[in-house]
This record gives sequence, structure tokens and C-alpha cells, in this order.
Amino acid sequence: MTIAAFGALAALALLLAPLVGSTRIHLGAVFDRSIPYANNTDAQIFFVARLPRVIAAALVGSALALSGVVFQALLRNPLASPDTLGVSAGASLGAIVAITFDLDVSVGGISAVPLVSFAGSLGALAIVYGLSKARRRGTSALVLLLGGVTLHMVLSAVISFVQYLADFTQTFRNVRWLMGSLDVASYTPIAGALGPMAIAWVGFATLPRVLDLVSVGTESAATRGVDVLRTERIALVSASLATGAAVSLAGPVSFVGIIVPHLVRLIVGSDHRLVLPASALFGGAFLIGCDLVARTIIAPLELPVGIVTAMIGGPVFLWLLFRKA
Amino acid sequence: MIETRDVSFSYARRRGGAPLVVDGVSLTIPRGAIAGLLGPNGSGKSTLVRLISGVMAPLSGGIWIAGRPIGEYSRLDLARRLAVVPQETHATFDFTVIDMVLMGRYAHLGPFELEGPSDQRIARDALAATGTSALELRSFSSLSGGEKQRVVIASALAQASDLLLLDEPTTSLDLAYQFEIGALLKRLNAERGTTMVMSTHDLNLAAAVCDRIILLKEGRVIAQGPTAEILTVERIRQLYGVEADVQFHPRAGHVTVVPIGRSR
Repeated sequence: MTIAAFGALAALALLLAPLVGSTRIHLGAVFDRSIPYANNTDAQIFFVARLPRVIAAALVGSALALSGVVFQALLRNPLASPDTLGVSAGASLGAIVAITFDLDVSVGGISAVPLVSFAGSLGALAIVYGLSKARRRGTSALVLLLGGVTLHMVLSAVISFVQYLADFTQTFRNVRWLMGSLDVASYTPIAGALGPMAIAWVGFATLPRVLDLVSVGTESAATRGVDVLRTERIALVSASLATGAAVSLAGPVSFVGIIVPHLVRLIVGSDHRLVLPASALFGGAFLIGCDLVARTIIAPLELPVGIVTAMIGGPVFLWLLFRKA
Repeated sequence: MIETRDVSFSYARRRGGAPLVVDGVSLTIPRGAIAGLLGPNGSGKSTLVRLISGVMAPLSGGIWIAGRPIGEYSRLDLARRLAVVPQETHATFDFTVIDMVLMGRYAHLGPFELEGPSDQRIARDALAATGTSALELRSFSSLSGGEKQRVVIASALAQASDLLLLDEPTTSLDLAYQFEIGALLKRLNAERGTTMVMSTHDLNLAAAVCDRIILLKEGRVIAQGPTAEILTVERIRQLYGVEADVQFHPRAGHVTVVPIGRSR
């Protein structure tokens, strides 16, 4: 029931967001078959200029929100997210390296930027996760988060270093990219990110119930019949894939991975069989909404969406923090 | 019900690296018993509980649960047979009490199966058996320590009412809750015939609740048998280096241990 409501919200966002923008268009005209497509500017704006961007927002938003949910449950830390763990920064570094040095590799149809982003996110995650395992019992939430924040800063420095090596125009492109933008301009980058995201979704689909048990404790989960090691592997690889794909598509878009899961839990409770799908849907709708603000607030100029999510997400996150305390 | 033969374990990866935490332990715990596992800090109690629970495999030796080697059980089979109550349970997220208890049904469900009416009924029975029915819709993290521990025991019962392993279940509880948990365990054992193995530092709790005692020191069993035979002045001195008075207490209805001072 609740999931249906979240689904309706996401569908509505997907359909209505492309109608809004600096140029007015009408839904009726968009789907009016009597006007040939070549003459139908409404349809062209809808399908070419806006829909790809909205679809990208939906995919990126849901991928980041899902990754956030998975990190929080797996590390038993409500403040874990792709941003706070440094996973986004890892993915960004990967993408920046791929963009700056124009890497030309591809594996199984996945092109260089998403591929190296994934490698970056997985690498960062391996470091943070290693950190969480290094002390055999009870790594405090604080240690893990400080580790993640430190990693984030170190990776940011490496990103700066790569930028320093790049030439002027490349640096400008990189800086823009690092602001987090959904300006994908066509369906091609979306298609590129879809492969890794689809694999991640399959992984996520196996997780909901085990995440409930693992969030209470790995050892108690094991005694209840959960294959903890397998769960951790699937969860971490899926979340890295999703984060890598999201970052390769939009750059680092912050706060989605942390505030969406918390807002969703306020509504549906803690059962991951609800939290996971609801976060995917709400994450998509949320980022579409933020991007709508980004596109319209200083129209005809378009803001990078990362600026909007940080400006909205930061205060919301602080509110969540103080609400608990 | 539970049998271990010459079980050894070390946290080092290879033999000879670190000292054995559990060293050649052979135990027999009959069906329907409540066995107390006593020993000083670092004597291997918790490790032994973890070995019997199957989350770790022994370095050598064998463990049998209900006559079958533990290695022959699948993860889920074992979970349906045996449940563990840890010292403390901390839920990261805000689960309700009934959510927590239903998690015990994990091993009984298919991969994407939701809990059905029978699972709900089993969970409610477990709440009733632990006197926590009134808490059903409360948030787990808002409960007191004693309430939490009763809910965790309910969750364990919903998982497997055959065999419970309890790892220092009363350590973080105050006196009233210690009594409450002790009485609850005795009652569950009497009503359901649940076999229990409980590690504890509380000699009087063990005396009140357990019908068998196993003494562990430096990973080895130094004595095991009926409570009255094992809980003696000499054994306590040997185990902890503490002088104590041990007497049958008519009002308590069991032996009581009053520690007097360190042995010299």
C-alpha cells in the first residue's frame, strides 16, 4: 500500500517534471499523434531536452538512496552513506581520471567512465570496510565515519592533483562535473550506466530481509541462518556498482544517500522489505524534484543539481540529527 | 542433546600461533537440561558458546547436536534447531518488538516468503511465554534492559524452542531483572522442555537456575556434573582463587555462594 503510494509519486514525478522548464509545453501536445514529430516542438523538448535528464535523475536518485540504505544496514550505522564513507569520492576520482586522461577501456559493453568509477567506489569501500573489520569487536560508529571523512578528504586531494595535471579547459569541465549535474544531453550515457545499475538491482533484490537481521548484528544474523559473508559481498558490490554508475552519470550528488533512507524510515518503519523499494522510488522522485528546482530557479540558467541537493539536504540532515537527540 | 568431543579452538589462523582458547573440551548436555557454563574472564566460555552455535568451526574435535555432527547441518537447519541469546542486543534501527521476534522466523521462510499467520501465531506465543505480549507494538530501543532481554529470548523461542544458548544473558541487568530472567528460563525449561546452555559469571543465578554445571578454566573443563556436586568451596577456590561460603539456603531453595575474599 505504502509502496504503491511511493510508486505513484515516482511515476508522477517522471511524467510531470519534463513538462516544467523555461519553455512552456503541454502534455496534450506532446502525445498528439496528429502533429508530425518533426514539427512538434513540444514533443521534441519533452523527449530530447528534458526526459533524458529526468530519467537520469530517477536512476541516480534511486541508486544513491539504495546504496545509502544498504551501507547503513550493513555497517549498522545510520550515518553511513556513499558520501560519508568516501565511496562517492572514490567513484569521482575514478571518473575524473577516466575523463581527464581520456581512458579507452571497456568491459562487457560498460564504457570507461562508469567502469573506472566503479573501480574507484569499490576501492574506497574496501578501505573503509577493512577499517570497520580491523578491530574485531565493536568498531564504534565514530571511527568508521571519521575514517570515511578522512578518506573523502584524501581522495579529494588526489582529485585536485589530477586536475592540476589537466589543462585549462579540462579543468573547467572537471570542476563543473564535480558539482554534480544531470545535464546528460542524450540517452547514450543513461544506456551506459544502465548495465551496472541493473546488476546492482538484482543484487539489492536478494537483500531486504537479511539486511533486517544483519542490522541487528552479524553474529546474531549468522545464528538465525543468514550467510553473512555472502550477504556482505553481494551488498557491498551492488552498492559500489550503483554508486559508481550514479556518479559516472551525474558526478557526486551529495546527501541523497543519507536523507532519503531516513525520511523513508520515518514513514514506513525499519523493515527493509519496505525501506528498500520505497527508498528507490522516493530517491528517484526526490532527485527529480531537486533537479526541477535546479532547472527553474535561475532560469534560463540551469544550476548543477549537486548544489541544490546539498542546500536542501544539508539542513534536512541537520534536522534529522537534532530530532533524534 | 549436545555433545562435544575434544574440541579445541584458537583465534590464530594456524595451530601453534596463539594459545588455545578452548582446549580439548568434552561435554555432554542431556536433552531438557539447563547447563551453566562458569569460569573466569577469558576461560573460553563465550568461545565455547560460539562454537556450539556453529558460527565458528573448531580447530579440532567434534560437536554433535541431537546426535548429528554440527557440520552436517545446513545453516538454516541448524538455525531451526538452535537459537542464541547474546549478552546484549542493539538494534541500529527502530524495530518494533513484534518485528524483532518475527526475525526469529527467518530460517523457517523461503527466500522471498513473507511471514504468514502461523509465523505470527508462533511469535505471539513466544511473546506470551516471556511475558512481553503487552510490549508487542512498542519500539525495541525504547525498552528497558530486562524487557529487551525478554524480547530477545522470545525471538530465540520463535526461532527454535528446542535448544537455547545464552551468553551471559544477565550481565547488563540489575538485580530484579536478573531474577526475572532466571525465573523465565526455569519456567520455559519446565513448560517447553527447552534445553539450555548458559554462560554466566553469576554463581547464585547458576545455582538457582541450572541443574548441571560445567567449570571452565583456561579453556579446559575442570569439572562437570549436577549443580550441588560441582558448586563447592574447593571448586570455587580452584576456579576463581576466591574463598567462599557455600550453603544450602532453605528460603532460596538452592545452594548459595557468598564470596568472602581472595585465596592467599
